[in-house]
Amino acid sequence: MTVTDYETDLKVLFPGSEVRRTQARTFWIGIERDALLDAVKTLRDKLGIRHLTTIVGEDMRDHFLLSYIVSGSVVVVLQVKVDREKPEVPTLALVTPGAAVYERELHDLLGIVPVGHPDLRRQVLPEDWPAGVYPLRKDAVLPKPAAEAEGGKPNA
Amino acid sequence: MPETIHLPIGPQHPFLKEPAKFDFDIQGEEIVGARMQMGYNHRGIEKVCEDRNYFQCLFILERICGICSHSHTTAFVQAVEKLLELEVPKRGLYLRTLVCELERLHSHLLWLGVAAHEVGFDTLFMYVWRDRELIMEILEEISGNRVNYAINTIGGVRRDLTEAQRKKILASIQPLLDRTAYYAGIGTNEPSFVARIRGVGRMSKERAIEKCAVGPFGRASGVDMDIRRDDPYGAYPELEFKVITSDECDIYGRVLVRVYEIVESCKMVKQILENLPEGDIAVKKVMRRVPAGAAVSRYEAPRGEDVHYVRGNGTEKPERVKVRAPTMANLEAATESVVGAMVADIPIAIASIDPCFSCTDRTTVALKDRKRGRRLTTWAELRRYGIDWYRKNRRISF
Repeated sequence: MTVTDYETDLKVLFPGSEVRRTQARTFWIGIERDALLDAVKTLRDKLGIRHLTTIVGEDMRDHFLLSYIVSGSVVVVLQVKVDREKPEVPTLALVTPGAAVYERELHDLLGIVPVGHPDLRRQVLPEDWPAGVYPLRKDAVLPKPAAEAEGGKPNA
Repeated sequence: MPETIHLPIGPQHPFLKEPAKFDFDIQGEEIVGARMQMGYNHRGIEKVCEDRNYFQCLFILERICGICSHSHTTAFVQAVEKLLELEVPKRGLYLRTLVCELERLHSHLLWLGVAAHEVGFDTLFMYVWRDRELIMEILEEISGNRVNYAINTIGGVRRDLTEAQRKKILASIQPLLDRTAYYAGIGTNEPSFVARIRGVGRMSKERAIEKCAVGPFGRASGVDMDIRRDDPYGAYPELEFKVITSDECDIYGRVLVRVYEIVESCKMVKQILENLPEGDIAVKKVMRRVPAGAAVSRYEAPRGEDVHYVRGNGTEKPERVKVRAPTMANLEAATESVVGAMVADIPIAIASIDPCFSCTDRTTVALKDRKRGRRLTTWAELRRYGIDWYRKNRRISF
């Protein structure tokens, strides 16, 4: 199958969404939050695109944008808008076990809750990181390190 | 039914040089459960990048890892070049790819040494690391640095290769190919080594696909995925190479895959140097402001698929830089692969995915104190030695 064949198939499989091709092999598709699981299953079963490369979370200030980068012969970026007030998405970890780590990372850094995640421990932040501080949010107020380290010189 | 004992290892522990905590459930010598916890060394690089301009980001991202520093900058500049719609000159792409492959060579040789060391085969470790020096010298010749080559820039590369350098590098690749053939023989035939790694750290193909494993770890479980072939970048569309896979699904398979990838990389370095196009090495003028939009860039790092996602917002600073290094994709699967093995297999099983530790740039040189006969070096002497060495061997004076 050529890249153009994939483009045609993607347009048929996602009739309600705009399929944008930006790079040689990369397609961007905006979908609704509730359609996410079906979209991932469709890509896997119909086109054999099943490798979840990663999930990118972004704070777009009025909402969060999650980009699920799924790859195979071509790369499909599924983009989901998430409400700031209720930052919840269905978990992918039960369909693609490899998604579990990326969802834990998103939970740590942006405070996005993957509903139904089997094991939502901290992934990248340390154990003593204050609860409720999500460093990748644009309005995050980060805890400052102590001005004076024990035995050291005070910060200027 | 023996009693299950909980064995915590880490975050500081004898077999990894970077902090990660492992919790193993053991029954006698057998491991029946494994969990992993990271988060002891998060540096917040993605957040830091939001406050820097694109060129400053390049220097920060170079320092994500000491071994695959070139991987991260290449993935990043590729994404920015897509946003800026830059056409990188061919010679620039070839030189970039040359460093990519040399980096893979040094990383795989380093790993082979570490793997041999983890199973107590220190002779192989010494041999392999000696030959890794050949690659380090070449990289130093090209970029001026042994690690953090700083050769990438947005729109191309920063240093050109002279004809003399090209010939010199070409000449040192053949001895490496010969020695690699020897290591391939040892790594795959030496009975005590093979007995130690065969059937250990098993990861089935189905599970590797489910867990989204990448790189040599995935390929050793039969996952036929290589970004250089599947989503080609740089000079790869014009190079001939084989993607090495294995159906062994264990550490033996991971040794096979990496050893034969070393051979393929040597061949690619030869091809690049023999067909190096003439011309510019970088785009002359690069806009400092990057237009709004997002780009994904995938790269086959020595450890597997490395991904950078960059969103520009029309200013000099990126809105978001997301990095997913290959170890992140593999660590969970590697932890799982330990289940069923023995306690003594933990170090080599975890090391078999080649988790990324930072490597320091130079070894310590212990010189003899002539007056007292003791083996020691002061800082001033070491500095003097370095200056003299460069003057004599590289004709560079400071």
